[in-house]
Amino acid sequence: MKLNAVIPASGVMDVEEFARRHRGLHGERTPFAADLLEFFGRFSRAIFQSREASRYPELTALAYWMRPAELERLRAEFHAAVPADTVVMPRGTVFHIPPGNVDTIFVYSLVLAALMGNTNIIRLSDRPSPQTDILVDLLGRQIDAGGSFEGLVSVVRYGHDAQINAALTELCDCRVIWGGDNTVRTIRATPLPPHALELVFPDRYSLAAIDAGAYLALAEADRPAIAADFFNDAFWFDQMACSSPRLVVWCGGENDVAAASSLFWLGLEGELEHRAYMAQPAVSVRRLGFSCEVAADQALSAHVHGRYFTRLVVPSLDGFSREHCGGGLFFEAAVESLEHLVPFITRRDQTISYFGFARRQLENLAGMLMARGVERIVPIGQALKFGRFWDGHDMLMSFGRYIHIITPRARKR
Amino acid sequence: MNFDELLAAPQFSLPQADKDRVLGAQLRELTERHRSACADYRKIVDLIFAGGRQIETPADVPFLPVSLFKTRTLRSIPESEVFKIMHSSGTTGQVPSRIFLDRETARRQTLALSRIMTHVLGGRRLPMILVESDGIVKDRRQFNARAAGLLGMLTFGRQHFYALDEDARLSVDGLREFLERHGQEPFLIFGFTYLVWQRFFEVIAPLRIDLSNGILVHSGGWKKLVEQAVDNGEFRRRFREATGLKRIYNFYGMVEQVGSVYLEGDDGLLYAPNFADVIIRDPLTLDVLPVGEPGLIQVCSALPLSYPGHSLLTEDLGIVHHVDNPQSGRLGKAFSVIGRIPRAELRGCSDVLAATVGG
Repeated sequence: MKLNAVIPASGVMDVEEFARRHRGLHGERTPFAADLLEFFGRFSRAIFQSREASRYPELTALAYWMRPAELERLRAEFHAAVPADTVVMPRGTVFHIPPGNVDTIFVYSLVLAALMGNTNIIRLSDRPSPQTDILVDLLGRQIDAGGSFEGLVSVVRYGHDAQINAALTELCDCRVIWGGDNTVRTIRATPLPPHALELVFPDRYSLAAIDAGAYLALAEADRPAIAADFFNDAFWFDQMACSSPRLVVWCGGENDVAAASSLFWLGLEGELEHRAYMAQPAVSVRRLGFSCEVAADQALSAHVHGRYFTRLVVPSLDGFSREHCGGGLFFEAAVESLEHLVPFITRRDQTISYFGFARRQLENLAGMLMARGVERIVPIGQALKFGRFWDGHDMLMSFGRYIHIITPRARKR
Repeated sequence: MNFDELLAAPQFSLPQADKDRVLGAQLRELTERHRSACADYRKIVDLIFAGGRQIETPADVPFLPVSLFKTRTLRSIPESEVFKIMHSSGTTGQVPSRIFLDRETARRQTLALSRIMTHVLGGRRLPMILVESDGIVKDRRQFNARAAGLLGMLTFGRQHFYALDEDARLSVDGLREFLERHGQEPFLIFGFTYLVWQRFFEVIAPLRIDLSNGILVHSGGWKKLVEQAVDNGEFRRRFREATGLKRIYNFYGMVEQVGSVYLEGDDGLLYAPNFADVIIRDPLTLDVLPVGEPGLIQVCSALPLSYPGHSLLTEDLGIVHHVDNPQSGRLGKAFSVIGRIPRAELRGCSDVLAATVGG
């Protein structure tokens, strides 16, 4: 049973040997220790300065999210989140299992766990990825650059191997599994140590909600910005990120919805033209094939195939199937008002990106959802923006251990 | 012209304008037939193709993506009338297409193939070399595309010689023996393009074997040969130089439209028989493209009665070079196949969660 230790770079080694070394480490720190902030600030700068990394916008976005000012803000949030009668300490070792195909996730997961003072083990798949290689290389350099960051993070690579998963799980106090329902199911078959905690991020579905009246009230000059924001949410990861909108729900009367919808899609087309977006032939064919499947399986009132994207209008959200092919296909529905969405929402729903609603309306919606679903309600343009609150967890604080201190109340004499 | 007349007329004899009209009428009837007999087809056509009304020419006919035959059971006959199910020979891990044939559709396919082949082979059955091992036809329960293609071709030959052994090695002695007996008169060679090249041509090329009386019919795609920088022109040139073989006919066809075979002319381009046609569409907009512009190949055929496969959007790219060119000796569209569309590369997948800075 062997794995490839990438950070620290020890090469192929027995899992037992890796475990023995890991147990010998004393890498734990107090949450938001100064050297931790400094470490990730340096990592952020290194990504910004890397010529290779600059070719990938998602790496730049990561570096921006991890910049020193943002880390400071996170520290302030942490202190605000600690109740007066508690002290928060790390859980110990966090074992991260990021998705095989979004290259930046492991760093987001690592940063939140490490800032809380934990030691980290990250399992990367053998799938080749230039983005991952760049990040691993830069991360390794930060550790080699001095300071005592031994044990802060170990990065290992191995294929699908339940025995290695089990051996590494034995070492952890918290396991983080990033997605795909199947991945979560498979890894969950390996039991955690009794005291350990698990955070899982399975498959999710996301939608956009737009108030038709508010959209129509926009000055013509303001519409392109919405199109650009929506483009970022939907097309950056070919609509395959689980927070990317796949369904657009219009709120309002029939006439407003018809007028707003045609302007909106025209605007999106303009945005794609403007960006000279390279649509892929195979994706276009796949959208057509998927549309045919949907047409055979469920009620649809319209289908529009375009160069860049496909629209499928559903007459009602009753019995709506969340199957999706990605690559620029949008289901479209209309409801009278936002609260009519409530019966449609299921546990699978994650993000509602919106335009044209007041905070009061959004809180009203959230207050009606009970245990149904939806854990992020964000303006259009921020669907992909990572944060400490994800899938209903406060990830940051989940990586900490609360020590509750009770002192006797002063007795009356 | 009805279907039988289309079949009976000399193949490749219809000017494109006539074909558009005659074949358009055939395809209009088939669209109506499948619309009323196949519920899935009706729903798809009604929503995606506005009901498939107003069909004048083949370009107006709704086209199903060929992948649908992998994911759905599409047939226009009751289960009791299914005579044969054809499977594509999909590579490992891929779901094969399933095509449901009744007796009449199977009969039309056989008849159609024969009309096309006699156009180049004449009416006689010729001594035949198969660049295959005889193992492939022994198991007749498995009707995958390769076995079906082979079985379909067997009837055009006699004294069949299977030139490969179980390990796909050429029997050179067997070949010499065959040529000693039949090499002085016309004989037929049939095989899949890459087998013909790798297992047949490359072995005999240095041996000064005379195939000048042969007629080679081959199909199956160029993907493996393109990797070796062998295209159709190179294929023909090398065969001619090394063996004297000049009569070479590549054809384009698929299990979803068996019998509708697009046969190469002497100019190296592919031509549609009377009862079929190709249309090139822009892969992104799906609009019809003019002559000379590469795009997705849509194939239309008047053969399929038992399943709604009379008009299909393939995943192959092609180009129409000219229409009704009198010099080619064949009328209609002359086209070539460029290859498959590059596979879709979507960045994430449903597992995926991306993070970025919002706007």
